[in-house]
Amino acid sequence: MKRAVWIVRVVAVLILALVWEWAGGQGGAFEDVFPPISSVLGAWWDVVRQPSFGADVRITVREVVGGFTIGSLAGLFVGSAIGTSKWLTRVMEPMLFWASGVPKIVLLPILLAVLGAGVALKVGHATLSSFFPVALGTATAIRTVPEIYGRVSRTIGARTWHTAFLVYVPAAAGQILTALRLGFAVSIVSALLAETAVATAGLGFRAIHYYQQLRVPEMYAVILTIFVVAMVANVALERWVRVYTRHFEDDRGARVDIAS
Amino acid sequence: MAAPVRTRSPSAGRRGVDYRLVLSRTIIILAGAAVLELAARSAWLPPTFVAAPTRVVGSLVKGFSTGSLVSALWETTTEVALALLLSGVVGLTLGYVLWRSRVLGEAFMPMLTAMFSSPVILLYPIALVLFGRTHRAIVVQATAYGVLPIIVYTVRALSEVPQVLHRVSDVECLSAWQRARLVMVPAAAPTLATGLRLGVTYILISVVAMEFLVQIGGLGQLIQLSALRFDIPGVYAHVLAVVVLTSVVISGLQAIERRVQQ
Repeated sequence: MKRAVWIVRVVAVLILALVWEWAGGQGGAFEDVFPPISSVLGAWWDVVRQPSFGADVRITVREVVGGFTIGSLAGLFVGSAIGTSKWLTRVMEPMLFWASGVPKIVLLPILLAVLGAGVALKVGHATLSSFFPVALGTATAIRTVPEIYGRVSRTIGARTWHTAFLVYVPAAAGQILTALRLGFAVSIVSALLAETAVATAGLGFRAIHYYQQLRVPEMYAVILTIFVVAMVANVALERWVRVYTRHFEDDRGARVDIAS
Repeated sequence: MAAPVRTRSPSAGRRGVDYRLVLSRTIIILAGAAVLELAARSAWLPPTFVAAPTRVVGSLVKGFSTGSLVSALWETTTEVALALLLSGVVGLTLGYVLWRSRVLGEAFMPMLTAMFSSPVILLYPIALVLFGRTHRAIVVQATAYGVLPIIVYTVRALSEVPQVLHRVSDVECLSAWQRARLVMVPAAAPTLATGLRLGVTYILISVVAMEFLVQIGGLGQLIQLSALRFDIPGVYAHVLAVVVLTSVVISGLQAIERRVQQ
């Protein structure tokens, strides 16, 4: 069965590559908008060897990491506050949920007025985007910790910070890490999207710059590189979170050391 | 405007609406608006990025009276509806095929699940190159974004139909159509509804984002045009229109999903 699955995958990729190469090689206007895969691969090799490509990668990584760090810290704080308060859960969480469905790219003009057109704009956009999934996920994670955990730790005399860090955090760790993973994925998308709109550097800017210059093979090369790298990073993070949280489940979550 | 919440609280009215919650949310929103109004009018915050709520409302009213907001809403809604139709047909069909064929399902589901949380929206320049700066590009891009959760959740929904229901269908000698209509679809409906809700959410985000970036039409373009004219109340007014549209669509879909899951 496993062999059949791998055969299907390899055949599918080969068919896709062959169809792409054939369709792109038809020439005429079609080749301008859908270049053959060999042209795209050749353009990819030319693009990644340019020194400016490395600089663009570093700028994009800085924006993503900066935006995710600020957004996730704020999200963890707000999510914890909401998750530990029944009133805040009932009043604020639905409003946060509605706000999370709004495409943050439409707030770009406001962010532009506040933060300017530099790196801060992309960091701000990534912050705004990553905040919501982290806040909502953290609130849900804390709320779903069984009440019995808290009651047991209070019964045996654990202090508040013992209960918080040795009981609630391990119990909620799995869902919080999943929320952080989602926040990271979203901050990648939003930093790159903001670069396509307002930027002078970065991978998103490079892709849209090639589009505006009608350098189509280069545009395909950069976009597909971004897409594949983001997908691989996402899958790797998801696997890591799954393995890491299995460790907490094996450990049965909480261990409370009481200072005597 | 604060939305009513369905709850079993003792203060809930006859229709299960908790008026204390509605009041709390309304007070929070009005308090926030009052602070912003004061901040904008007394110039605590620069007028380049804060607009007084009263001016924002004025801009909204102007948009409705001139018809620009209505036609933009219509364009956005039409694009969302078309993309949903396409992604629904393609997503449900592919989902069924991947469920029926174990080999195909195991071969492609991991890739589809990985793509589900990947930046599909960043492929929009490719859509522009292939279809030009037209509404078609927006619909195709939104379809590509919305079809993924529909496929994933269709496979999940059909896989979760209990085996006993299949055996009962065999015992009752149901035809394929009867099996689908009387057993599979009702059993899979809750998870299918979740997939469709996610699909619509992704489609809405994609449509508005592309309208904003590419400026072809719709609410997204109105936001960009207001920004280019330094019409800050207009920017906030159109962002508010997007917020309201998104909230209404998501709330409506959640209500349908809850109904189906009952």
